[in-house]
Amino acid sequence: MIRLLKIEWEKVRSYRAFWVMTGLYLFMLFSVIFGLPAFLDYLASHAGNDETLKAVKSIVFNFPDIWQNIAYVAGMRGFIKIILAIIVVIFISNEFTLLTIRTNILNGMSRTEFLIAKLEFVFLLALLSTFIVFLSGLYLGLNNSPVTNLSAILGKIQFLPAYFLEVFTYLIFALLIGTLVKKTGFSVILLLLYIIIEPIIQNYLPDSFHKYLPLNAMNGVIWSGNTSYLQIKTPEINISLQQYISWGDAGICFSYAVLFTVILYFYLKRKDL
Amino acid sequence: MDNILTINALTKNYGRIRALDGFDLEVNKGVVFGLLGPNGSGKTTTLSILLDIVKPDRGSFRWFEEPPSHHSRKRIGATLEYPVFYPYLSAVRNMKIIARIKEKPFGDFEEILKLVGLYDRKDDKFRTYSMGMKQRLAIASALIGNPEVLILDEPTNGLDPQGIADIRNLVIRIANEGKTIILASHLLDEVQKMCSHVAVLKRGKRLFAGPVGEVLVVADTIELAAADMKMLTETLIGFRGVRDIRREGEYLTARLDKGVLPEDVNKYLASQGVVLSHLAMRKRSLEEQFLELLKEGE
Ligand SMILES: Nc1ncnc2c1ncn2[C@@H]1O[C@H](COP(=O)(O)OP(=O)(O)OP(=O)(O)O)[C@@H](O)[C@H]1O
Ligand SMILES: [Mg+2]
Repeated sequence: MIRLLKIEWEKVRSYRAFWVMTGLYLFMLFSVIFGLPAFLDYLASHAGNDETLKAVKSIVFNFPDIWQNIAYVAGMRGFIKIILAIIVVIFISNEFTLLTIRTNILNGMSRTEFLIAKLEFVFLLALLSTFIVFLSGLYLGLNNSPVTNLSAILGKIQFLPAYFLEVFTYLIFALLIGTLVKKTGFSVILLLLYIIIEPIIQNYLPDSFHKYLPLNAMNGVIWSGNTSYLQIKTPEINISLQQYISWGDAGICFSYAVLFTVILYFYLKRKDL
Repeated sequence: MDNILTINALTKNYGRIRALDGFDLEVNKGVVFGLLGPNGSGKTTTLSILLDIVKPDRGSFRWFEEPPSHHSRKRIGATLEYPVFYPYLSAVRNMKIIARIKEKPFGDFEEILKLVGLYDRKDDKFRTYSMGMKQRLAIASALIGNPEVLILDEPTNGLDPQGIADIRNLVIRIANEGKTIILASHLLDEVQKMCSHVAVLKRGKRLFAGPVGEVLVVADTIELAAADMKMLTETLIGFRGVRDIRREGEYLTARLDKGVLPEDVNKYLASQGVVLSHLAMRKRSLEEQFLELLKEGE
């Protein structure tokens, strides 16, 4: 396991494009996470009635809702996490375009090990992303939340593993696209196009089927933000906001992670490289 | 003798093209084995299958008398077709990746890089290398971890005369250490200089295999003439040691079987009452011999 990670590490450690893109991703992630309270502050300073808007900030960044809100924003479809997926797609399709997968295999890496190495790599990327969301949430929550007791902090912490599952599955999807398409440019384009293609396909399918489409599944584990404030104050407004993580939604997403991995496994097992 | 590699009836199709057609081979320990064949004869395809880059349609092979696995590949150092490395990494970084894959230490890098003459540029990115330098790195990477078997696909491709001489000497030196080497080439001369055994491939089929001394000795051609060419022809047909009797201008040509000398022909013809006015051996270049060898396999 560690051996494979060390090999992947050697591949990226002096790969400039990788670090530039990762830097860009982190910058975007931080901008969104920390830009949000700044934006609310900005609104507050320009509004006549300061009190209400000041309150909004502590509502959005209130424990435990903050975990859901921050994970929802960071994980929104076609938003910042696309950068992470582009990194992955380039990283894997390069191995085919440059033919370096051959160098790996002929020197004694098995095809299964090649896949495991890539899965470990995207696992770590998803973990890194989740960790940043966790730290940011903790920081913002402690600074803005009216309540900071342990049970409030841990209240909706299950939104973090849910966020991890969504990102990890999406990155395996990127691995699959990069492997099947092979040409670096085309696979990036397909990854982006698919964000538009899926809603078109969705139009032709019955409503009950929508949540089973891959992109919907990968974004359906956390499907909205929430704040307890909104429901208490405005019960008459009929917006359905997510309250908890449903095992069913997580199961569909996880099934896709497994399905993508199985396709990758059999494809790599049989294919001429 | 210890068997290193056994290939059983390998067949590989690329669409309509049959790249390999029931190819068999045995390679024993300590042999320098040449895979000789013209462009497109299936040499690279064979080596790719042996290294799990390409999956055969039919047939099987065994390394070290075991079913093939990535563990056996760790005991093999290989170059395939053209050099493939991470372009944005230096020679040393690329070699580190390979050593980690092979689970071998980094200790021998300096020695190897000096051996292939790449030491001065070892920290430059692969993409800045010239063709010959890339080829040198490919050979360097095959030497990592002192493998038991070396597979070299056209190892002197793109090298300057000095580089070619260096690589040939290197191969011979490594062979003398008792290593097994499998070398693909379309150059007869290269195979003859470096190899102890050879298999000749054509359109994916094996034409010959055996020790170089036996396979690459092609029957020589003689030219004959006599006053009565018709009688010469008829008499020569009665002689068992020649083949392919043809009229070429004012001469008759015939190919000698192995071990038959021109004087044997002369003696026979004289005993049959034919007096020759001309008898000469045709010396052919190695490449001509190779072409003839390929024709013979039709
Ligand atoms: N990926 C591929 N797709 C289609 N055909 C291929 C492919 N690889 C090889 N071939 C075909 O298979 C045959 C054997 O090719 P191979 O590369 O094994 O030849 P070779 O003996 O190594 O030739 P060379 O001396 O030119 O290196 C050729 O006819 C070639 O066109
Ligand atoms: Mg070839």
